[in-house]
Formats: sequence, C-alpha cells, structure tokens
Amino acid sequence: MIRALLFKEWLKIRWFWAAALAIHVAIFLRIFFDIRGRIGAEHAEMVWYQTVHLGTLLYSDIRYLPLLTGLVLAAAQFIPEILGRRLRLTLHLPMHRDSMLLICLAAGLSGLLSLCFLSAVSIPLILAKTFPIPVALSSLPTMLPWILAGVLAYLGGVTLLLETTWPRRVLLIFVFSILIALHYSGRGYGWLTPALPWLIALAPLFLAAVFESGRRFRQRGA
Amino acid sequence: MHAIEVHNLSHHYNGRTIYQDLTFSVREGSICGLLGKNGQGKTTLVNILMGFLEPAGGHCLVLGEKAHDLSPATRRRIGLLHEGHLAYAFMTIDQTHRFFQGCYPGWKSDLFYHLVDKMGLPRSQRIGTMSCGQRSQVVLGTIMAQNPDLLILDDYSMGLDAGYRRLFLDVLHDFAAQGQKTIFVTSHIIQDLEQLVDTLIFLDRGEILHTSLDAFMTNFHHYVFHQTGPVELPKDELIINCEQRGNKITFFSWAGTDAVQQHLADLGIPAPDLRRLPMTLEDGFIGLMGKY
Amino acid sequence: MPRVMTRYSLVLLTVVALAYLMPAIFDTVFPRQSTNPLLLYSPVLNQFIYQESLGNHQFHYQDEAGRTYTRSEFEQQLPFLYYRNLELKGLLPPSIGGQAFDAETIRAERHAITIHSRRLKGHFPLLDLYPLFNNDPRVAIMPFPEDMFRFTDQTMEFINADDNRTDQELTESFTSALQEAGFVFPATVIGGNPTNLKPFDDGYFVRDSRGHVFHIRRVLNQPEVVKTSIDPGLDILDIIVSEHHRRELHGTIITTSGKVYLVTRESYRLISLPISGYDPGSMDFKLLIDPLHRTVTISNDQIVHGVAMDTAYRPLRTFTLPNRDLTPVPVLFLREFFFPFEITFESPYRSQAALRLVSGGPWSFAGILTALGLSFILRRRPPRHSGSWNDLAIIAMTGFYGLAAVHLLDET
Repeated sequence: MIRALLFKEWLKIRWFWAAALAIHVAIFLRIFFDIRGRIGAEHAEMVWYQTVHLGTLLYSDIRYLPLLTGLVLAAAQFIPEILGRRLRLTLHLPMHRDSMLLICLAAGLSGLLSLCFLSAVSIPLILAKTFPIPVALSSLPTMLPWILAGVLAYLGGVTLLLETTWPRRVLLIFVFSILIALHYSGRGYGWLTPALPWLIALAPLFLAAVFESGRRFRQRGA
Repeated sequence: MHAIEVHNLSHHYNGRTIYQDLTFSVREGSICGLLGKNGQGKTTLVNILMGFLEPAGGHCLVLGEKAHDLSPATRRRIGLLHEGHLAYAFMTIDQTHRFFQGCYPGWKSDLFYHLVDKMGLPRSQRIGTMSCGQRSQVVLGTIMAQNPDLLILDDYSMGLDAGYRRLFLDVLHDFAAQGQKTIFVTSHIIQDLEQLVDTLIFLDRGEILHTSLDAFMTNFHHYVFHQTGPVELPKDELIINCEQRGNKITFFSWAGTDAVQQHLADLGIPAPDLRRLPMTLEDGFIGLMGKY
Repeated sequence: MPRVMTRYSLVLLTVVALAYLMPAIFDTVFPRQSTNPLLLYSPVLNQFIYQESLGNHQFHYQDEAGRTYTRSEFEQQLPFLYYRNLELKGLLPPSIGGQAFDAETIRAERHAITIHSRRLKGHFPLLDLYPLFNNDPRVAIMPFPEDMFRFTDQTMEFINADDNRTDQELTESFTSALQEAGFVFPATVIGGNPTNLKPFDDGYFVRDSRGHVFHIRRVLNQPEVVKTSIDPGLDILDIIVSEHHRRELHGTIITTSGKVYLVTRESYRLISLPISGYDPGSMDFKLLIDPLHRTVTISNDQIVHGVAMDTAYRPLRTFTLPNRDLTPVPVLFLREFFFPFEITFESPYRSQAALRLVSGGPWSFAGILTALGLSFILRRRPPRHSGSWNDLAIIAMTGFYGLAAVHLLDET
C-alpha cells in the first residue's frame, strides 16, 4: 500500500522533479563558471579575500531554489488531487488517513531533499576546487536555512492548497511568508548559524499545520 | 443485517435545514435507488454516506461503522463511484491498475482488464485524455476489481450515452447476481433504475418514502379520464398531481380504481371513462414528486 | 494527529510570526529615540563634556558641571577633536593646558581605537583564514599576498590562492620558526588586520595552546616570530591590532573578564587600562588618544562611562552618563500594552543572528488582561469546553498575539 502511494506521488511529481533537477544542474554550472570567470578577471587572492573577509557569497544563485522547488512540488502533488475533488479518491483508500497524508508528504519531501542534498554536495565541491576547505564547508550552514525555507515552503504550500476558506488562506500566507522570510535574513556566510536549532524547530509545527488543514478539508465535505 | 443505517439524521446548509430526523436503512444484499429532485439534498445525503460530510445530528452507519470515521478495513469493503466519474487523470490504464492493485489485496486484475479492454484503448493511454464514457469504464473496472461488499454510486449515468449506460447496468447486474452485495445508487435516468433496483427511497422536502420497487409499481397508479368543461380537482389524500390538457385529465393515486371513482363521484365530478394508464418508474416518480 | 496538536501548532506559528513582525512594524511607525550621548574629555575644561540627541537632528551640549554650550562652543572645548574646523575658522586656541599645539602636531598625536562588541571574536561569523602581508621596504604599496594562512593542529599552513594548494615551503618555514620560538599548536586566538588599507603591516598576534602570545610577521617573505612577554595566564578574548603611524602601540588585548590591555611597542609591555564594569560581550569600547590625554569610554544602550587619563594612562577623572529614552511615554505605553514580548533576530552586540525573546514591561499585564476581556466579548459566551480554556491560557501567556491567533484560527 505504501509502495502504491509512493508510486502515485511519483507519477505526479516526476516531470516537475526532473525539470527542477535540470535547473539545479544548470545553476551549479552557472556558479562554477561564474567563479572561474571571477578568478580569471581578478586575482585569485582578492576573490579569496572578498569571500572570507567581506562575506561575498558566490553561490547565492541557489538562495531561493529550495523555496521554489518546494512550492512547485507541493503544487504538483496536491493540485491534481484538489481539482475536481480528486482527493476523495485518495481519502477513501483503505489506509489510515493521517498515515496516507504523511506518506504523500514524505514523497514530496524526499523529492525536495534529494535536490537539496545535491546542492549540499555540489556547492562545496565546486567551491573546494578554488577555495580552501573551510570556505567550501562554510557553505553548508549558510545553505541550510535556505533548505529549511524550502521544506517550510513545501509544507506551507500543501497546507494552503488543502485549506478551504479564503480568510484563513490569507492568514496562513501572511504567517508562513514571515516565518519563511526569516530564513533569508542577514548577509554573508553563517549569519543564521546560531539560530539554526530554532529554525529547525519550525518544521514540525509546519508539519502539524498540514494535518490541521487536512482535517478541515475532510470536515468541510472534501 | 443492514449495510446502511441512518438514524435521526439532520443536516443544515447555510442555516437552512435540509433534513430533520431522517431514518432509514438499506438491507444487505439489496439494490437501493435514491430518487429525488434537484436541491432536495440527494448529493448531501450521498456525501454523508460516503463519509465526506459529518452530519450535524443523528448518525449514519455504513457496514456498521460511522460513515465519516470508517476504519481502513471497512473502506476496503466499500466501492465509491463519485459524481462525474472521478479518476486519477494523470494515470494511464496500466498505472491505474498498478496503483489500485497495491491498495486492495483482493484486487481482480482479470475483471479490471476485462472491463477496460472492451474499449479497445491502448493500456498506456492517460485517463485525462479519455472521453467521459471511456473514463467511466475505467472507473467501473477499478471499483469492480476491488470486489467490494457495498457499492455507493453517485449519479453513475451522468455524461454517459445509452451504450455506456447499458454497459454499466450489465456490469452492475452481474455484480448484484453474486449475492450478498449491496448497491446504493442515485441517477438522473430513472428508467435505468427500474431495471436495476429492488428498493426505492424518495427524498422530498426533507421527508423520505422508503418502499420496494414492486410495492411502488403495484400500489401507485396513473389515472386518466375525459371531461368537456373545466374541472377543478382538489389536492387531497387520493388525488396527487392532477393535470389537465384539453379535455384529458390525468392524476396519480395510491388508491384503486373503485375507490378513486367513488371519490370523484363524491366530489361531484363524473368520470365515466376513468381508467389506469400504464406507468413507468419515471412516470411514477414525476407523479409522486411533481415536475418541478 | 490529535486535533489539539495541529491547531495549537498553527496558533503557535501565528504567535511567533506576530511577535516577530508587529513590534518591528510598530518601531518603523513610531521610531525609538534616545539621547545617545557622545562623551568626550575637554582638555580646556579639564572635565567631561557631552552631546545628547534631542531627536529630529537637534542636539544639546553640556559639561559635567551642567553648563550648556552651543555647537560652536562645544567644538572649542574639544580642540584636539575639532582642530580642523577650528583651524578653518581661526578659532584654534594658542595654548591648550599651557602648551601650544599646531594642527600638524595634533594630527600626528591623535589616535582612536574603537572596539565594537559586534566585531569581537565569536560575535560574527569568521573563517580563520588570513592574508599575511609581506613587509618589504622596497615596495611602497602593500599588495595582497597570493596566499592565506590558517592554523591547523600542527602547522601554520599557507594555501596558495592561484592553485588552491598548500604552499609547502612557506608552511614549513613558518611552522618551524614558530616551533623554534616555543609555539605550542594549536592556536587559540588570532588577531590581525586582513586588509591592506593601513599605513603599514604589523602582522598577527597569535595565542598558542599554552597561553603564550606570539607576534608573527612576514618580512621579505621570511618568518619573523617573537614570543612576547605577555602573561600567558591572561584569559584573552581577542587581540585587536592597530597599525597606526604614531607607533606607540601594537594593539589592544581584551580579556573575557572585561580587562583591557594596551600592547606597547616597548618589548610588548602591557598597559592595564583603569576601567571597571566593562563587559566586552555587550559594550562598545573606545580609546581616544590626543597630545595631552587618553580617554576611554565604554557604552551600551543604558549608559556611557568615561575615564580620562594622562599620557601615562593614570586616571584623572571619571564620569557616567545615562542614555535616556526619549520615546514619548504614550508610545512606550502602547508598545508595552500590545506586545508582552517580542522575538528578535538582531542584536546590537553581534553581527550574527541572535534569537532573543525580549519581554515587555508592567503595562504588558494590562494588555494581557484587556486581550482576555476582548476574548470573552468576541466569544459572546462563557468558556465551556476545554478548547476555550486552552485558548484563554494561550491569550494569558501571549496577550494580543494569542488573541489574534486564537480568534483568526477559530473554526466557527
């Protein structure tokens, strides 16, 4: 049953996931060539100086990538279910409904996190070619808030899609936007690192919010 | 044993009471048709039975469990046909098969493909690209292959031409013939139901009339007589939905010919040529509920 | 998932979002104002003199004794600070404290060292990779070296930027020079200025694992390592190197316990500054050197404290001034009333996220009671089921944030 559900979710997101993968790879390449171009145009030591002491981020192109990926995957998974009330088909499947929703979310999050993982491997590797290891590694805590923002955007997107009333949708958009925008505060590398445990703690709350909307969706005649 | 039990059901929508204290049950193994004009709460009732709406009052048991809180094991025994033949449009025939096979342990692959292959479509065709009739066949295949004990069909005939409707009925007949299978069905095409159901539930202004098909067809009559002058027939216990066209007057009644004749005479309306007209279920439905 | 969990997760998220955003919006509409005092020592008055903001770009000038000044008079009391202005206006006094100074002498003798807590070690994200500038008297400008160094557990490693590889030669020569000088790896504090915008390069001061401080320079691409006499027992928090043309000091040492030492260029002798109450984590430090005096001020958002010293850093006079809040009382009242607490990410003492929960004030309790009252009115009926009590508990803890969250997320 779990396999069947994962199969269904995969059918919905696969093309979007593939497109996101292609965009990720394109942006990695762009970052790679951008760094190469900079090193060619300026002295390498100046680029190092900007990176280490002025806080220039050479990989800020991927800043909003997890966010957009999260929103697209949420839409890809849940718009086909909501259109024409198709979620009724899913809700009637012989499985506990919360577990079912959890599996759908796990599928979407796997799609998102697989791409984030790719970023978390590729960006340090690209940086390590030109910069000392500490610079390459510093990209991880810097990217983590962006990845968390992607996870929250995904969960928030699903919550919004399952929500049935407009006033509440507006409230949710307001609340989620503020909390997601937090993940983009500061500048340079590692600015948000001391706040990471708190930012991570938002994810379970967002997850619970999905179930709140899911419950309301069912109660309001699906 | 009842497949569906409804006790003191009440529901409101936007402050309007749709029904109050509705009580009925559907016996296991029966084929029950729900009839009612638009806006009488038919869809709401089906939504409640399907578990997508929690009733405001009373309770509604399906296979012994609360409809809006069915256990997965019970949901497995219920096949739902949603209004408009809902299906996963993004799946192909093969993917639909693969998905539902993984969801239902008793899935009957042969039955699924037997029904679906009748259309001669390639199995790689996406449901989203099919016509309504083709899609209905895939949905039917899906429901039948689940081998449910109870079928709830919400307006299965919507959007189907005569051929697909007939196909649908054939399959439902075969299904019912297995015994111990319950079907609860609504449809706009009442003449189809006449071929299928054994029990009827009429829903009208929050009231229901629960009867067997045979009893209804035997006890409800369509009458005609002729009269030259204008006639004012009263609406009373015996005369239902009277209509006058030229000098031809028709009406319905639960009473037999003699009782009606006597009643008309008592009212001072001579009806020497009073006789019963042959009546279909659709005629009876209109007779009982009115045209609008 | 239990209903109570899903609903209150959403309520909590809403409260957090409101507690973060609403006070920030409030402050944009009604900006906070304070006197923001600038405390200086006047060699003319031989006492402290200060500027206070009155809001709207208006300032008030006053000395310790309470005498007030105009802007122009204020500048005249501070000839070492405003010598350029005074010179232009022909107001530079012929003698200050009995001595005559021309603008050139003043310029040559002036030096300011400012240490903001937000630029202290650990208060901003920093990768320990630094350029070590080459001291070459034949080259006028100071080019960036092609490499950066970092301290590993065993070496002072130089990494070449052109090929991103360890420069074995430099690494070995500096590592062995350090070992010969008695350096015990790894390094615990590294202080230096990784910029070429300075008059000369004074290299880096590095504290080893035993507490000894070493002065490391690169002279003609060769290591020059000096083991200083600085007490290894000092709990050094940071070493701030000041390359200044006066060449009196190498820099400043700040300890975790709030002591400040100046490192002189006479065999690294330390001068302990006579200040107390300095918390490097939450105060800014400023040392002003002029021909006659040394003035230290330490400040936070509450007070500014000044110590004036003679040229031998002996204390002459101290003065403390509060930083008074000028925000109108109704604004402060409203802020406290509506916001029982706020969540903030920024801190004036860090250049990095510092999540803080700042509580309101006494009026916050009035706000909470009002929110509870409003909740009763909005409900139009007494609380009956446990859900209503939970809601009230949320409002009792979070005031108007909770009121908004609970009622906006109400099912009915």
